[in-house]
Amino acid sequence: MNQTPTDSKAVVEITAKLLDLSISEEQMPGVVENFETLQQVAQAVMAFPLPEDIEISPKFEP
Amino acid sequence: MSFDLDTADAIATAEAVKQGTVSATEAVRAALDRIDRADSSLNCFTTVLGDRALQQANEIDRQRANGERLGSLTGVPFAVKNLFDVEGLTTLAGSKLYASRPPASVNATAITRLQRAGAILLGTLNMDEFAYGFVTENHHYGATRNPHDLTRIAGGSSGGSAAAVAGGLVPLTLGSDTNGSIRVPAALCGAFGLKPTYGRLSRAGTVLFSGSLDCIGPFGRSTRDLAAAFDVLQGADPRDALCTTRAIAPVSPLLQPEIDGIRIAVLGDYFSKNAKTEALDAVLAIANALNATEVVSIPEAARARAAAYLITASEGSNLHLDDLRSQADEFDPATRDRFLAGALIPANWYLQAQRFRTWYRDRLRELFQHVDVLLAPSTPCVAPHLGQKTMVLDGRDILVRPHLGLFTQPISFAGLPVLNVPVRRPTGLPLGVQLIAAPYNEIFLFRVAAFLEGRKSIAAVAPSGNDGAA
Repeated sequence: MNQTPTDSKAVVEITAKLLDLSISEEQMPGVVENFETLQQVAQAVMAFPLPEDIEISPKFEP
Repeated sequence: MSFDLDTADAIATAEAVKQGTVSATEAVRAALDRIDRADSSLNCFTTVLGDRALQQANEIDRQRANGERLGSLTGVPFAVKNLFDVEGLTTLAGSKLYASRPPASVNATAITRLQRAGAILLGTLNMDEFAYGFVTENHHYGATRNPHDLTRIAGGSSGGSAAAVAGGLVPLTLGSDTNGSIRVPAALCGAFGLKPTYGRLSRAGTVLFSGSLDCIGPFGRSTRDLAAAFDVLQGADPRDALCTTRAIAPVSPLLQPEIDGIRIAVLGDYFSKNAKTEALDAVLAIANALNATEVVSIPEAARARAAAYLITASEGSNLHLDDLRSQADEFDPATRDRFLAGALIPANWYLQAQRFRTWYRDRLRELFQHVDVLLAPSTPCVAPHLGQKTMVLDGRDILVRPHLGLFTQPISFAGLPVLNVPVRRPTGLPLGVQLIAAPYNEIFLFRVAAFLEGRKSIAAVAPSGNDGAA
């Protein structure tokens, strides 16, 4: 999860390619910055130990 | 004393029309005049439906003359965030991308239901593009300004909906809330705003942002107005599979200003940090008015916000993936890179966030075994200035845009109903407090709000000293 900025750019480029998403040079710095924010946010979520029996609610009932 | 249409709330307007004190046509003309006078400075409306509204008003006046049965919102002018389908209008959702789409062929369910109760649609309102933001500084359609200080934001993403009510243009509007998009602008503009229980009100005919979280709800200038709108909007809808099939449970007949038996507590920890003193003081003032002394915590609130962030980014980007592929530069620069980055989220981040949501929901269910209503700030600060990027909090520079949803996101993540109440302050800009209840317990929120209103602890305050209409 602790990628360097260069790694982030590489991840953005290869994932975008996988999705047939073209990201221009002008767009790239902003996309990488936002992706790094998402990475940081995801770390908190992924670090939380969830019991195996916790599942997604297909139709969420609060 | 003559009836003042410019300051009357929705219920007072409806009563006046039903009694013949004013006609529906006069109510609509007065609202159109206010829009004409003030909207050039506020920039709430993206479309004004003057002729259509006057036709509907004329029909209501005819029905009254014939002694026909009239609804609870008869003659009340209202407007909707421009992500609601309006028959004959293109639904913009704040974007330029949608501007070339064909007009909607039917109204959103919420509009149909309000019209059935006699309310009259005056137009559509500005928002952040695709509801992705808390500021309503829209690149394509301009910024909506705060009626209390035109140099400040109205909040977002339902900024036009909040400012139109707070600025006195119309007494009732509709908005949508995914992470705080009703509560944040309502708080910053000094209006009442309801985010209902997730799935309680039909979203049919609205442009979704993040279907796992999206809700629609009303803005108004009094508790009773929101209650009346909520009652009219309730009901199952086959057009929205998520909409509950529970029986309609009207709250208006139960609006006594008493709170006996309602257990109220203040949210501490996460909800008492990273905010300006004035925002925390607003909560304290409401807690004191309610004699609420217990402080409770929601576990993992920060992680809940993180999970909501991931789900929103992923679902929002997926909805717009085709446009991101083919015409990304047509997006608002404020949303484009966020959507592009969101499209790249790995499935495991998204799935873990959704699973965490179930865990978190269970903790909230436990908490509501011991309490009925929770209090928390709606925003960490008053409305920032237009274009303001950062603010100083606890000696640190922090980004304004993402921080505005700090206290709203962990609450909507659990699908809870929330009523933003505008706190009466002797001086300064508006601030709001979130009244939060267990799922489907909106009635507690309305009873507490009615109590606070009766004690004059909360009120929608008309702006003064600027070009706002009221």
